[in-house]
Amino acid sequence: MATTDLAAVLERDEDGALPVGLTLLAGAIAAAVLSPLVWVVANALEADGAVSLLTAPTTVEVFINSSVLVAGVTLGSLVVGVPTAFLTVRTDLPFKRGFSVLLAMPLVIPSYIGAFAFVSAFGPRGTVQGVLEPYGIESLPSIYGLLGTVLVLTLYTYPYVFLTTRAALKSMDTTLVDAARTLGHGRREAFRRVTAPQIRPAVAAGALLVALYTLSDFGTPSIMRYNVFTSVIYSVYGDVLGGGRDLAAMLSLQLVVVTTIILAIESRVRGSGVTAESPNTRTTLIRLGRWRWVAVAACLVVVVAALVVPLTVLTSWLAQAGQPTTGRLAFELSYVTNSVAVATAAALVSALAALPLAYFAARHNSRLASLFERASYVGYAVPGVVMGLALVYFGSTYGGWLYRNGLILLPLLVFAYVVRFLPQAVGSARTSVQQVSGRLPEAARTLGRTPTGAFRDVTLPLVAPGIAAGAALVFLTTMKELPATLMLRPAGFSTLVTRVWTAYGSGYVGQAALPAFVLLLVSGLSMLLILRMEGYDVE
Amino acid sequence: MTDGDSSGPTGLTDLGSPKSDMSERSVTRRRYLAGLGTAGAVGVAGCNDLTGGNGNGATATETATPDEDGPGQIGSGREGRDAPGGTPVAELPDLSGELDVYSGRGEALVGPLFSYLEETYPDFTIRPRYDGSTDLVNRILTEGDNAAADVFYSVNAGSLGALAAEGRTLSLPEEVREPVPAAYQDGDGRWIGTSGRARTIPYNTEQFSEDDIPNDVFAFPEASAFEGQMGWTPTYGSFQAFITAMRILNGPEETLDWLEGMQAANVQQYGDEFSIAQAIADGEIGAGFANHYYTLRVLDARPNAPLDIAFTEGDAGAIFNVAGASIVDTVSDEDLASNFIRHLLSAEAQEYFATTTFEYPMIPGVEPVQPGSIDLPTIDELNPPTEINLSQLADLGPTLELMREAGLNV
Amino acid sequence: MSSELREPDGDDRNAESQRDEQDEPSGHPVLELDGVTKRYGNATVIDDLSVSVREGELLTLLGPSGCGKTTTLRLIAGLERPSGGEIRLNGRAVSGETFEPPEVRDVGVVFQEFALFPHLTARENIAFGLDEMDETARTDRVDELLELVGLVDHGEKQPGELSGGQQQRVALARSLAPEPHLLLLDEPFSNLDVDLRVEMREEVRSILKEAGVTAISVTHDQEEAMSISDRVAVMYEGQLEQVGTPEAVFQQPRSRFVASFLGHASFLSGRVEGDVVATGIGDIPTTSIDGLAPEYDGTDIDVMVRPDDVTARRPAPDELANGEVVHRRYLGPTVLYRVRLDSGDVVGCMHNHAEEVPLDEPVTVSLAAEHDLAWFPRGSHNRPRRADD
Repeated sequence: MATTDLAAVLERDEDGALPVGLTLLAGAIAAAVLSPLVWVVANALEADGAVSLLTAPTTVEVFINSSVLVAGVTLGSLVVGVPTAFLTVRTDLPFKRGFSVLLAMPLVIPSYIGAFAFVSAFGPRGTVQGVLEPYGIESLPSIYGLLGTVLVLTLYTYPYVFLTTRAALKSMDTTLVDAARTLGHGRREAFRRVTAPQIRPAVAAGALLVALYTLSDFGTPSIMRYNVFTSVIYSVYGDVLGGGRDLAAMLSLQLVVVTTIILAIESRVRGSGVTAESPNTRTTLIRLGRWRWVAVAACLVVVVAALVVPLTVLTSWLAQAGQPTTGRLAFELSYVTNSVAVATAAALVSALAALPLAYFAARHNSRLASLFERASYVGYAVPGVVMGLALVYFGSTYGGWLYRNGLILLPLLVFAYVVRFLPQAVGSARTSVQQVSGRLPEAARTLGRTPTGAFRDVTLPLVAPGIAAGAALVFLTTMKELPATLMLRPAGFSTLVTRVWTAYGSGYVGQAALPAFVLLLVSGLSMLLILRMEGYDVE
Repeated sequence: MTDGDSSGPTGLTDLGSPKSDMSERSVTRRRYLAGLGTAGAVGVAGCNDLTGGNGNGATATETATPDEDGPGQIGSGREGRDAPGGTPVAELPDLSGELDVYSGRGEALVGPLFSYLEETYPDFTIRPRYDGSTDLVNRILTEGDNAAADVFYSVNAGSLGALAAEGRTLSLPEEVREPVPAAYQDGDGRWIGTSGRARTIPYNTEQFSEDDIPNDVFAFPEASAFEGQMGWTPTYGSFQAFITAMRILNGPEETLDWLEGMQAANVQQYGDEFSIAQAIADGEIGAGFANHYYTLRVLDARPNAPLDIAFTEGDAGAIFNVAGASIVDTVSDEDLASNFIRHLLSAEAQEYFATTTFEYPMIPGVEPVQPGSIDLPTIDELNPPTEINLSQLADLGPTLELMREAGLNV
Repeated sequence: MSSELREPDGDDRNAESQRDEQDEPSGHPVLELDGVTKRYGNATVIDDLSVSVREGELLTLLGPSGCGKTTTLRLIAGLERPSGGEIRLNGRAVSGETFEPPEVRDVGVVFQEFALFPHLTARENIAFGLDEMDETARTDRVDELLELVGLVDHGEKQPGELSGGQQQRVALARSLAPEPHLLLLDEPFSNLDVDLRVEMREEVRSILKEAGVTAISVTHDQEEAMSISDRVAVMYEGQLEQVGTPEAVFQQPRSRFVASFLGHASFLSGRVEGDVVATGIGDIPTTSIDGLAPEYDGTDIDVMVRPDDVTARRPAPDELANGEVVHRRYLGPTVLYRVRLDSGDVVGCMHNHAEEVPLDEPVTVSLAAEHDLAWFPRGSHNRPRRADD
C-alpha cells in the first residue's frame, strides 16, 4: 500500500512537521477567500482625505456606536440563546420539540424584514400605536435608536448561539455533571464549573458569528435609525466625485481591523473546551417544577417577538385591499429556482472549502493552521457592496469577454457568497472534526486502512453531519443575502430577495409580500434540515 | 420611496421606510401599468399605444383594461388629456440589437417601458441591470474599460454629472439633444434629462394657506409658525441635491446656519419623502420639503386630502432636477444607444412618465398631469434658480461634510 | 491468514513459572525492541529500551503514569516513529532504518477508550479489518468472533447501546478478527468499573490464550499485571527495570523501584557477617538471601521483606522484643501493621484479621518466609546481577 498518499497530506510527518499537501490546500483556500481584500486595500491606500475622515467626530461617534451595538447584540444573543438552548436540551420543558424548531426559526428571516416589521408594528405611526391610541396612550417608547436596533438584531441573530450551544450540550458527557452534583455542588455551581467550560467554545463560536454579522449589517441599523460604521461607509460611497469608493474601501478596512480584534477576543474567551471521548447524555432531565410555565412563557415571548410580528406584518401587506400591483412583478418560479440554485452552489462550495481548513486547524495545533482558519472570517465583515465592487473589479479586469457578456457573473456571485459565509461552514466543520477522537483513524490504520482509507471510512462519515449542518447554514444565509446579489447578478437574474427589494422599493408592497413568504418557506425547510442534522451525531 | 430613487447604494435605503399605509398608494398608476403592453385604443400614428389611451383624448383612465385588482376609485384624474406632442416612436429610427442598460430607475417603473420598446422592435433586446444610481456609477468606474454598460439611465442629475465628470460618457448627437431645453441637459451633451422633478413645499391646507408659506427657503428656520411642524429627509438624494444647490448658491456658512437653524426649530426626520407627504396629509406635520410628484401621488390616492404644494422662488428650495440618460464610453453600438435615448424622449415615453409617475416631461407638447384639486405650474411657470446648472449637483462630497458638521448623520 | 483459530500451544502456567528469568527468549521472538529511544523535543520519553516477546506469550508492560509504556505501544504499532534503535516484527525490521506504516504491520491494537467506530454496528466494527475477505468468509469470521467474546446476540447494536464491558469485548474481537501476529492492549481495563475489571481480565486472558495470540498489555495496575501475564516488564522513567515472570519480579526484584512498585516492600538494614546477615529482626543465614555473593562479606546491605514474610508477636519468655507497633491498617481479611524496629527500620507485617497482635507493648518480629529474600547493597538502586545471568 502506498505510504505517500494522504499520510503526507493529512498528518504530521514523523518529525512533527506539518503535512505539506494539507498546508498548501488550506493556505490556498485562505488566500482565495482573502483575495477580494487586495482590492479593498489597494483602493483604501488611494483614498484622499482619509485621515480627516477617520478623525472626524462623526466617524469616532459611529465607531463608538458600532462597538456598543456589537457588544449589546452579542450580549443579548447570549442572554436569549444560551438559556433557551439549555431549556430545550436539558430540562423537561413542555412542548420541547416544538420550541426547538421555533426558537431556531428566526434565522430564516432577513433582519431588515424583521426591522420593517417592528417599525411597522411599534413605530410612531404603527399598528400597535393605532390600536392603543383610543385608550389614550399617546406615544409608545421609541422603537428607533440603539435599543430598538439591539432588540431587532438580537432577535434575528440569537439562533446562531442557540444552535451552537445546543450542539455542544448534546455532545457533552453529562456524567461529569452528575459527578459534580454528587460531590456536593448545587445545580448552579455544577453548571458553572462543569457544563459551562465544556460548552464555552461552542457558545463563543456562535457569539462570534453574531458579532461579525452585526458589525457588517447595514439594513437594520439604517431602518432603525442608528448610525453605525456601515452607515458611514454607504454614505461616503455616495460621493462619487470625492473618491467615495476609495473612502468606502478604507472604512471597510477599519471593519476588517475590528473583525480581527473580535476574533482575538473570541480566541481568548473560547478556552480549550473539553472533547468528550464518549458523549453520554443519559443524564436525567432537570425538572422545572413550578418554573416550567415561566420558562414556557419566556420562550413564547421570544417566538412571538421574532416570528409572529414579521409574519403578521407580511400577511397584512398581502391582505391589504387596494394594493397596487403591476404585471411586471408577477411571481415567477424562476425566482425560486434561481435563489435555490445559487444558495445550493454556495453551500456546496463552502462545505468543500471548509473541510480542509477545519481539519487542518482542528488536528494540528499550529499557528499557521489557526491563522488560515481565522482568515476565513475576515470576509464576513466586509460590507456586501464593497465585496461586490472588489469582485466586479476582478471580473472586469481579468474576465475579458466572459465579463462583458455576463457569463462570469454567476460564478463570481457564488464566490462572493463563499467569501462572506465560509466561516459558518468552517466553525461547524471544525467542531465536528474536533469531536472525532484521533484514536479512531488510528484504529482504522491498525486494522489495515491506509490514511486515505481511514479518512474515507471513519473520519468522513463522522464529520459529515456537522459539515452538512454548516452547509445548510450557508444555504440559509445566502438565500437572504441582498447587496452582493444585486451587484453581481447577471442581467435578468432575479432571486426572491431581489424581488422583494424591487417591489418594496417601488412601493408595490403587496407584491413584496409574496416572494418574502416564499423565501421564508424555502429557508424554513432548510432550517428543518439543519435541526435534523443536529440529532444525527448524538442518537 | 419612489421608482428606484436610491440615494444610498444598493437601494437599501429604499427599504428603509415603513409603509404603514400602503393602501393609499396610487390606484390609477396601477391602471396605466396594467394597461401597458395591451394593444389599447389606437394611439398616434398607429403605434402600439403605450399609455393605454387613444389619440383622441379619451381618458386613458376610463378605457384602461380593468385588471385583477379590480377598479379602484378614480382620482381627480386625467380627464381631457390632449394627445401628446413630440416625436412619436414611429418616426424614430428602428432599434435592433442588444443594449446593456444600467438603470438607476426601478424595474417596476421602467420595466414596462422597456418591454414596450422590445415589443415594438422584435430584433431589439434590452439587458437591464437595476441598482442604485450611485452604485451603478461606482460600478462603471470600477469596471473600467471592460464595463458591460452601453447606456446609463439615472434617477438624478448628480450621478449623471459625476459619470460625465469622470470622463466616462460620450457626447450625444444633435438630434437627441434637440428637443430638450438647454437647462435640462449637460452643456457638452454628455447627458440629457428625460423627465423632471421640482423641489416643493407641500403643506397641509387646514393648517396653512398658500400665503402663509414663505417663498424664501431661508425664512423657514425663523418662522415660528413652522416650529416643530416641518419634515425633511436628509439621507435622500434629491434632498442632498437641494442642499448642494444651497451650498453653491449661498455658500457653506449660510447653508450650515440653515441646517442648524432647522434643527433648532425642531424639524422632524422621515425616512423618505413619500412619508412626508402622507404625514402632512394626515396632519402630523404642517409642511415639509419634497419632490413635487410625491404630493401628486398622495392626492391621486386620496383626492380629498388637505394637501397642496407651494414653491419658493429662485432659490435652492426651488431647484428643478432631472432623471436622465447618457451613453457610456464602453458602448458597443453608439448609434443604437443614442437612438434608444431618443426613444426615451419620444411622445409615448414622455406621456408615460407624465401619467405614471407624475413627473414633468422634458419635451414641449407633453403636459404634466394636473391632479385637479391643485394647480401644478407648467415648466415655464416654475421659478428655479438660474445661477446653477444641474451638473454642479454632482459635487456631493462637501455637502455631506457640511451636513455632518451640522450634526446630521448622513 | 487461515480462517481457523490457531491452536493454543501448551498453556501451562506452572511450567512457565518455573522458567528462569531470562531476557533472551528461547522461543521464536514475535517482537524485538532493540535499543529503542524516543524523544519529543528535549524530553527523552523512552531510553534505550530492549525487550523481546515470544510467540504465544502475554507480556505486560507495567509502570506508573508517564513512564513511557503507552508510547512504547504506539511505537510498536507504527503510530509513532522512534528516535533511535530498531523494532523487529518476526525478524523483519519495521522501525529504525526503514519504517513500515501501521496498516501493513499486522499488529492489532485495543485502545484504552476502545475507539469503536460509533457509526457502525458491532458486526461492522469487527468486520472492519476484513476487507480482503469475501462476503461469506467475512460473515463467518465475525460470527466466530462474536461467539468467542460472548456477544452473539449483540451484533447489530451500535457502540452507544453497549455497556462498557461489552464495548471492550467488541474492541477485542475487532482487533483479533484479522488474526494479527501481535496484539497490543493499552490499559484495556482501566475504563471499566472496578468490579468488572477482575472479571474482564480473566476473560480476556482466556480469550487470548484460546486464540493463541501473542499479546502485549500495558497497565499501571500491578495486580492486573501479576494475575494475567506470562511475563511482566516493569518500566520506570522510560527505561526497562526488569523483565520476568510475575513471581520472579515480585520475589526477586532487581531494583528498589520494582521492589516498591509491586506490593509493599520493607528494607531491613543489615550487615553481612560471615554466613549470616545481622538485621534488626535477628540473623538471617546468607543461604536464604538470593544470590548474595561472598565478596559482600563485611558490607552493609538492605534485605527486602514483604509484609507476608514477617510476623509480629508477643515476645516469648526468652526472647527480646525488637520493636513496637506504630501503625495498624485494617484491610478486611488481613491487617497490615507497621512495626518500628529497635534498629530503626520500619517493617510492614501482614496478619490475618483474627490474629491478635499486641498494640501497646513491645513485639518481636521474626522472619516467616519460606523463600529466598531479595537484597540490595546499601545505597544502590539496583541489585548486582548473578554470575549466571
